[in-house]
Amino acid sequence: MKKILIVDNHQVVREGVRKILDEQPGAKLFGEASDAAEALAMVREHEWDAVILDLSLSGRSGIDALKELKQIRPHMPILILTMHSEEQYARRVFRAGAAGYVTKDSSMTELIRAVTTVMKGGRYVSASLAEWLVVDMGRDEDRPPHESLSDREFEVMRLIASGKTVCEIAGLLSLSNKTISTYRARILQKMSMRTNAELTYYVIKNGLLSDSIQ
Amino acid sequence: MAQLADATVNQVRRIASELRPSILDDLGLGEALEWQAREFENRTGIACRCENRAGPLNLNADQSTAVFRIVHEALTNVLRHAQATWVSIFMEQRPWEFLLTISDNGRGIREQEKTGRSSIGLLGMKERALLVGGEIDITGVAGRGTTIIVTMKKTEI
Repeated sequence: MKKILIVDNHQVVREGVRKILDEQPGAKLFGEASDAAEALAMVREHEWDAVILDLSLSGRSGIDALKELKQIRPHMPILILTMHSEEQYARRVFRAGAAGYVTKDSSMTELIRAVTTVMKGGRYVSASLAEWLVVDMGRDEDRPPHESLSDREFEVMRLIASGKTVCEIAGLLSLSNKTISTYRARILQKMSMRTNAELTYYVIKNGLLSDSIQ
Repeated sequence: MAQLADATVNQVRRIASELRPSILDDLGLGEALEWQAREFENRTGIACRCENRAGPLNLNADQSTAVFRIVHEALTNVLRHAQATWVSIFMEQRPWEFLLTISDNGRGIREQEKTGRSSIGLLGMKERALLVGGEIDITGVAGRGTTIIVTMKKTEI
């Protein structure tokens, strides 16, 4: 009996993933969580054979949730299923301990293959992501400036580039305007930029912003 | 290399075994930090303001001690190196974490100062934070100041 936990704040997605996986042979038990807090509680209470985790959870960042889940159950495989295109988050996600990375526009076959692989203890990336990662590993000299940003700063940078005001970002992340302003100032400093416009241009040019519903 | 490792281990042990400052038991973390700020300003003449937007703080004892000592270390650095005229401490929290920002208007810490031989104090700060499930991020802007952000994961939501 395989126990799979699906974490996504859209019920439609949870149902869809569940249906796709349920059609596969083998007894399965599914759990669902709609946010990070629920997921953490469920992982603390039970052992799961795999967790499928969306990165765009409301409030708390998906990467933070990923790190926390790994701390609670270090050997539990976590497969990231996200709307964000692969390159944006892939490195951070694997550094944070994910076992695999699949985008929501992947085929059902790919999702099934990914879940099966990570449940067996393997790592899963799509062929195109694998290629991108290999190319990226070769680029050791010119580390792009946004690599020096902490995960939180990276998140704030993307939100600024998507046109959100400091106030709106503060609301989204449940932090004060003051802290968001502090993050913004540090991002500009680390990126050697002076305005939001420069940040936005950089983010778009480097494909760090996908069309997400957020 | 082995010597450096030993020194670090000893430092970590020493840090971990230090007694909890009694003021923390008397006042709780929020007020203890406000007290620290006032003391610092009176002693050094550097304007030091502490704003607590976090409300009631429920970090555990080890985390409170760590934050208290980190702030102490940060203020000492401001006095010794920053050439600043003010430093501000700002606290807030979300259900799963506590954030504390220490900013000064000094000359700004340089990259090499973060990792050089004289950075043992900073190393100590990072160790303190890591030991209790926290993180420290330090950024300096030349001529404008230095900001330290301390994040502490809350153990029970």
